[in-house]
Amino acid sequence: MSEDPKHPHEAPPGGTETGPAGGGVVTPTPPATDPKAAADALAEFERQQKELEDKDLPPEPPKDAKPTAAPTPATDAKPAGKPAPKIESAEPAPSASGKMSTLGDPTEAPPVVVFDKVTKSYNVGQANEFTAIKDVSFRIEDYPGRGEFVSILGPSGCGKSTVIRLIAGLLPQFPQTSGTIRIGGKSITGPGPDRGMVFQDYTSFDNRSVLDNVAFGLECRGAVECELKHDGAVRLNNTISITTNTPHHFKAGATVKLTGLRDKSFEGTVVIVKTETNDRFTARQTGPDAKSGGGIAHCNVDTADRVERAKYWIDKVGLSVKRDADKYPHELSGGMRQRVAIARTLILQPKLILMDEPFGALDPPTRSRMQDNLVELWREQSPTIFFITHSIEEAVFLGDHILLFSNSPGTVLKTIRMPPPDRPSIAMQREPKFQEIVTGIRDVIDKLESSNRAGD
Amino acid sequence: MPTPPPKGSPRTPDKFVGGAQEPLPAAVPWWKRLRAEPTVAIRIALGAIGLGVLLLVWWYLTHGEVEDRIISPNKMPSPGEVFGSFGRLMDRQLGDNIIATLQRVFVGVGLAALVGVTLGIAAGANRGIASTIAPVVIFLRSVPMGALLPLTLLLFSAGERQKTMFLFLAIVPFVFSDSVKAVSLVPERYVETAQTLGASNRQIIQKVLVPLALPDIITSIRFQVGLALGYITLAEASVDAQTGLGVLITNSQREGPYEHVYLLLFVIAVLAFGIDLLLRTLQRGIFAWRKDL
Repeated sequence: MSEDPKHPHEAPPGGTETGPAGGGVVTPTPPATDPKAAADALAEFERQQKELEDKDLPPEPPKDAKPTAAPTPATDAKPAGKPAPKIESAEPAPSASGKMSTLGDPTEAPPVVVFDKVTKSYNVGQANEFTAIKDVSFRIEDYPGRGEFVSILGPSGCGKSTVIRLIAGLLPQFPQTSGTIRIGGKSITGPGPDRGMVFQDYTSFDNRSVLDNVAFGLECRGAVECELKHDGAVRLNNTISITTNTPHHFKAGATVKLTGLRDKSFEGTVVIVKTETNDRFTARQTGPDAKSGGGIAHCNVDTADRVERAKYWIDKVGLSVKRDADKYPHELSGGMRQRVAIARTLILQPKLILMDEPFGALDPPTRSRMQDNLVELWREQSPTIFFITHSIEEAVFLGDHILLFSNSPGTVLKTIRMPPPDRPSIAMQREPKFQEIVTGIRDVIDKLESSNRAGD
Repeated sequence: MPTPPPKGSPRTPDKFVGGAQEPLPAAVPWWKRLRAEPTVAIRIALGAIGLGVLLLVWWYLTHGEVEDRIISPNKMPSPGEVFGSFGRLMDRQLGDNIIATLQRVFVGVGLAALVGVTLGIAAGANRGIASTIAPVVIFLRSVPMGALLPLTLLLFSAGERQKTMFLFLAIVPFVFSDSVKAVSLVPERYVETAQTLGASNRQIIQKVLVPLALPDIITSIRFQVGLALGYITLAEASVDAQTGLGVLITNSQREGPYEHVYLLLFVIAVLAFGIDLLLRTLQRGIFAWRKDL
């Protein structure tokens, strides 16, 4: 370990107590890794990538492999002759700048996730101070109609979980010691249903059936509140048409309570007859033809609706509603439990899903089936997914963006762009090109790990 | 699932062992396997044997004419004499006394459960509350049972209230501690999962911590009911109560028949066993998802 007391990156903008205040405590904050070894490894990896690219552009794979893949924005934007993965330097990556055309250009909306020189240290100022991640910076842009699949890869103990738990807002990782985290342009204050999380350990609530596990989030949410548009309530022939400011998920049969409308004859509970678009629905309500605005619609996600939605998601993740919905977690296999966990997260339709080695404890065949299912769901729902894995194959298969982490303290070493998966996991992993990419990344990680060991 | 798993070649039977089926190796019997559970029938039979041996020893020590016995009937009557005196025990209003004792047990334990579980859940969820209550609990836990009697007599003077409070004070610290522990033992992952699904603190307590801790809390209460039955007989015996199994035992020891002292011990044991069985059956029915109860 080199004793480098003044690392150039130190002195965080916030001026928090990262450094030793009195100067008496020795806080060795060495560069992330032996710079030379890491640089060598990367140079070699980049050379290999270039070779691959030159050798042959992979022919566009037959599209019939997945006809069910629905309307994937990824496919529209994809130009013919998908190039091999490219590597960008991660360090001050000032946006991906649309280098890869797969995703199109990012929208004007604030990036989904921004990490700017984020450092997390424990026991700051004490003898046992430990820095889990140091100066981690990356930026996940908001692309039109589709979230990115970000794999976080790196040797064990490199702070992968720290990153994901900081995004989730979970203690004790949250909050960071210094640096800035922005989720959708805002800073976070704690965990929330907009950032679903799937853990490696099985976290199905043992006292709840599969159905009730999946419905848990909806149960907690209770009534959904939607503000009505100006003149958002129109009654004609005892039928009212209601337009809300934000998209809602009111379904036919659900009851909606209307309050605070200017025309008091609208107030009360109505039953939705039909959902026209995601912000407009019609319901029956007797009364004279009228128009009213303002107001709030409270939709009680009632039990029937909850059950129906839970069943939909149970089916979506590849479980059987008929056979599995009433089972309890102790009757499920590991793979089934993880499917429950995924359904439970997806039912809330979060924009951001965090997965901390969700398939780590599964056997290989189950694992690749789950990977395929996840890719399919991701295509359909297009959230941004952060996916931690130890498996390079998994990262390469799933991710269109790999954050390669180095060790103690963890930092982003490389951002690698991958073509998104276009075939089932097993088919894809058989390809020599795929294997070469995996080998390339493995070499980088091996070099990193050995250089670290040598340093310690 | 749109991707069918790759199809393997159909299995062909293994051909490398020819001829008829060899005799299969014998299964290892349960008594040779460590920690293996025999069948219910065997368990009951073994229990009966254990009980039989006990009775046999008892019979041996007390058989024969009064002068020939190893132990004098004034100290220990024979099994026949003890069980034969059941009719006379019934004449002493056994039923009413059982009801009186059980009533005290259920009120005392019920009160202790109400307070202990409520505070325990609050303290399990909020360690600040736990620290606040800790001194009282430590104090109560270390008060000897024998000292609790004069204390409650002093505070409440002899009567039903004194007996209920005696049971309450004897049991509440244990129910409390077990409840705190049960809530603490719910893995943090469940709490984190609930948080990322949008549950508020109150919802986490209601929907995660309490339901998951409840089976263990009920187990604790079940044990306390058994202990309470013992405590209350002590209270009934030492304080001049009018009714209760403890009164019957004391009176039998003072005025005879001595057979009833032994018989009442059996009655109490059977009661304790019956209540436990009932509670355990309920518990297994309610918490079907807990396979280990």
